[in-house]
Amino acid sequence: MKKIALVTILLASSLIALTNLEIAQKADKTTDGFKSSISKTEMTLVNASGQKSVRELLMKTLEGENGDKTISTFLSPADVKGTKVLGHEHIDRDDDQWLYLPALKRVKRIASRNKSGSFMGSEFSYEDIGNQNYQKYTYTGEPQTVMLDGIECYKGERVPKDKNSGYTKQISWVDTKDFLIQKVEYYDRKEELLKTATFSDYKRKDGVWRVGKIEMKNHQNDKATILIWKEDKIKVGLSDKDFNKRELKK
Amino acid sequence: MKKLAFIALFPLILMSGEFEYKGNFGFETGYFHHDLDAKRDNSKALFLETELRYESGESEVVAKLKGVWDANDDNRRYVDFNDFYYRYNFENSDILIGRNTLFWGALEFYNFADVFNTKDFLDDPFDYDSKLGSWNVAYTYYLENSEVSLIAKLHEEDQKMQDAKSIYNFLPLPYNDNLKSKKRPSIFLKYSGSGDEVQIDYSLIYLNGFDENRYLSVENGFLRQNAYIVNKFIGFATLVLGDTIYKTELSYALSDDKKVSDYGQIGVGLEHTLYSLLDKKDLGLLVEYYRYESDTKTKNLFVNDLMLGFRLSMNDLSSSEILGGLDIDLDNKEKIFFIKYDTRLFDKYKLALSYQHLSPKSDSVFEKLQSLKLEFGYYF
Repeated sequence: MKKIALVTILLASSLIALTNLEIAQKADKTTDGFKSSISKTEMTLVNASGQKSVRELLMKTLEGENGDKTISTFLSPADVKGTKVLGHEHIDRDDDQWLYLPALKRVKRIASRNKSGSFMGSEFSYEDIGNQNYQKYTYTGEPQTVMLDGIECYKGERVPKDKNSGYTKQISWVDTKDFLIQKVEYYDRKEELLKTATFSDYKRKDGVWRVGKIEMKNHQNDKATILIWKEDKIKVGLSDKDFNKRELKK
Repeated sequence: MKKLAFIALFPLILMSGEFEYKGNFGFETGYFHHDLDAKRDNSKALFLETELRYESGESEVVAKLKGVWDANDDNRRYVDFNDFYYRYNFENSDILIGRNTLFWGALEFYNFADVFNTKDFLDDPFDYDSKLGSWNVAYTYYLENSEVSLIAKLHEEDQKMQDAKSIYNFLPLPYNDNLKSKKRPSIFLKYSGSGDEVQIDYSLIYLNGFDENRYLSVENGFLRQNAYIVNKFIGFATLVLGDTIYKTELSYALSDDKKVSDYGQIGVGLEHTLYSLLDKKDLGLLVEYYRYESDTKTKNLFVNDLMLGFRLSMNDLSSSEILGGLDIDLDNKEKIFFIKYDTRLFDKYKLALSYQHLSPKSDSVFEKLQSLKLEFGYYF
């Protein structure tokens, strides 16, 4: 009888246990549905000796089934004020990206294939800043339930599908209650730990979870970048028209 | 009474919109090593650039002021508005009235497709991005992935020069900067588009009016610029394939002036960037080739030229960058080498250091020319 009970419990627990893929799908779902957003962010770059430099950005995003559209405008430092980056993400091919240089009034198409390049001199790469859709990864192994700073999390491994990714694998911590990403470790092409991102200050707005702070620590050069959302509005009624090249020159 | 009402309401009208401003001021200094006794070997100048933008509803007013005060050259003491325009944004189109600058082109070192504005020779003539605003009326209609513009440029701008003691004044005689035959408007029709599946941007332009190039004639002992009418066809495109960007510019001009023959220009180039080298530095490699063909012997700068260059982005706190290049004139072996270092200091200041070396052709006025320049500016 005891044996039957044990088998039943084991069977039941295996039926309700989540796979890494399912956890990623749920994590995606918690942050999906914002439709469009306007955010003011502050990016603080910290070098190995602790010196800091701050950049401010106004970011507009349009949620899309086949990838998001974004337009980022530099508000500071003053010498790059008005510089804009327009991005159209695609799941099945390279993203479209344009850079607008206000001093020259020039719109430049830029290459987007390489994902490992630094975003604005920060420890974030273009890959880290872009949409983290679960379909961009394959999931291996079984998730472990672990504690992270007093929060129960699923710890799992994901491998980027994009062969131009700067990473061979990522290990993520997703909390078991709300399925919010708490931490990600990034491993470089030599399979060595490169960076750790810590996610915090989540707020729930209109049924959608929004991150408030990401701290990216580079273990190989001792530099760090802290990204803070100063203002964040969702479901603001933006449309495709707000994300074309005309908007760059405005 | 109406006037009084307008004056009373004017502050309210202004308050209903949004103001935005930015700018910079600072100084630039240069040292020139050359062999011409009549030319100065240094320059010192203060500069100011400021942009004021006012938006209210769909209306927008932009004023961009540029001021220079040179310690030695009276011609370089001026204040000018290169941008001063009103734009109204409709749902799918906009109309612009006023003076402004535009950028047309795809290549990095020199853009012969960039014909809308006259180059500003009061700045360094090797700085091809320095331009004079043009008075115009422009209407642009926007489609999903493309746009069509019809622009009437009202007249041509006089092209002032630095004084005779400047190494950037190459003229053998005194110069009268009052351009001849400039009164007729020039009409531009421009179509630009982007690919849906292929990462390409392209533009086609037809110009009926004054060419950007001019020729000089002697009048009463002075050299004077002459503008001439052309029918010009221009195209430029940028294509991204993987990590490489391919660029081209083309133009063909049918001249209406007997002193200038028809001519054609082609430029091709590519840019390939190597990312995350030595602690996340990015290295961009550039190659460009320019060709100019005409029936008459011409003074055009880029007749058969190869440009090789690089851009090293340090991706550090100061956004430091080193840009270097070598222009080789394949006909007469003249070479220009330049390198520029640019960095930000304490978030509000910018410092730029540049060096240029000219290895002249055999019949050049220079036997040698080297310059070292420093620019320092405060940004707000």
